[in-house]
Amino acid sequence: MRMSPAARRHLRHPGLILCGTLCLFAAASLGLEHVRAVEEVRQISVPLVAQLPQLERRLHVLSEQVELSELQSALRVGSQEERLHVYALPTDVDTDRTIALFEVLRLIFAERQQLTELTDLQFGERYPYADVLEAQMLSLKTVLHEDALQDLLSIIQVSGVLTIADALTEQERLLLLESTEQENPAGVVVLEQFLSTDLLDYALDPQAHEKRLTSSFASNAFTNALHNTLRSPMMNDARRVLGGRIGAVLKDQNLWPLPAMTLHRIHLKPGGAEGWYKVGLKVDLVLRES
Amino acid sequence: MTEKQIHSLGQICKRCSLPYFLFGGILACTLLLSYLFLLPELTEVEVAGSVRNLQDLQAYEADLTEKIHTIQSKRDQLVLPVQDQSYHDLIAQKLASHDILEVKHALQQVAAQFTGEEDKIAVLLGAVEFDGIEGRFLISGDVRHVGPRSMTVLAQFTEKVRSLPFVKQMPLPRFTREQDPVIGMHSPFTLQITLQ
Repeated sequence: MRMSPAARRHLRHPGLILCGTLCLFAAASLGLEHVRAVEEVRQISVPLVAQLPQLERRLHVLSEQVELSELQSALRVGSQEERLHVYALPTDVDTDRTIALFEVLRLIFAERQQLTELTDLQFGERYPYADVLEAQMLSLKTVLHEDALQDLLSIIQVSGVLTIADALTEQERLLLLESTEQENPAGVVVLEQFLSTDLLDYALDPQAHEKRLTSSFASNAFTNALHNTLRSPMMNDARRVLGGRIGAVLKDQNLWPLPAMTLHRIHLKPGGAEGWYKVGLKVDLVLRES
Repeated sequence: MTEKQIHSLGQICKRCSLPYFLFGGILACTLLLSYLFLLPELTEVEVAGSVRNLQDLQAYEADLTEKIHTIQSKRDQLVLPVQDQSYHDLIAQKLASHDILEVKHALQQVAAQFTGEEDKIAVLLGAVEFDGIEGRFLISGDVRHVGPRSMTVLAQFTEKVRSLPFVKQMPLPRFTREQDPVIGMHSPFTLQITLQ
């Protein structure tokens, strides 16, 4: 059954053609791999290599900022957490301070001839609020002018807010932090001090606090970012309502920080004259679970 | 003739098979060597003191990005004086809330666009109720001084209010026309607006 040499020769040629074809297929596939590799370099590697130094620089800057921030945190005197638990978000309503707050507002609005009555302050039952918190309702009736109503609503809005950082949204804080990265990474310490500033202290003298911060940055870019950020509705409310007599009296009478309140329901009816309202107001005094 | 042609084709195959195989084999070997040794040499780059290929570069970039995110969130936490999630959620809720006087003023501006007989204001807004929990704003009012068109004016007012940016949802109010001996035909209404 052995194959003759002539028959073997006869079969060798198709075998070589088959092997040659397979080699050409392999060569084509390897050629495509070369093309793919070059394409990947052009589309991925080159942009990536250009991007990596920026990422490395950013990581370096952030690491430096974190080191400085950690140092600053260790040196921070007094605890905002304590103020939060005692005043802003206590476990029980501090009736004296709450009544005193509305009494101060009543006196100031009456002085400005923007309030004729404030009656029926009533505390309701305690109930669960937003999953992990509790609240106690406080209802009152009043007749006041629109300007006083605006101040009253602004006080409810800024109540419980302790520092400038708390009055800003996460995006606003990020904008400021990113500006420090670009302008002066070491400026994060001054920014941190600024953000930790008590909201009432800032509202009573905003320019001094802003100047202290902007003096650490040479260009106007950071100043512009800061001013844009500080134009948010809550910061405007804080400067307007706490920057005047109300803020000064709250500081004098030691009523700051205010207990955290949110608007539960408000009913406005036109009052006796233009711009006056009869107001039925219900606010939630927010508490930590006892 | 056909036999001769078949024979010629066989001859051609016989003569070409070896060069064809050698060409394919050498080309495949050359490309294989290039793929194994030359291509990595040309496509690898030195970054941060070490030579990296595409996969290494992508992994390095992902690693850097993750480190940046981690350290950034750490820095963002460090600048926050208070670390209490329930407190931050409460403040976020406050920051997202609407100024009801601004809402009322916006509605008044829309109402002021409608005038009736002798340029009197046609849409009068009255009592306002705002539910801070539901984010629901109720405002009552009356369309007057426009005679029998009061319901038409109310429909136009409603459409304009619905197009305001802070309005998330507003069911159509009840359209009614009443006759009053003093003010004539008028359409009292109550709008129930769910804010964004």
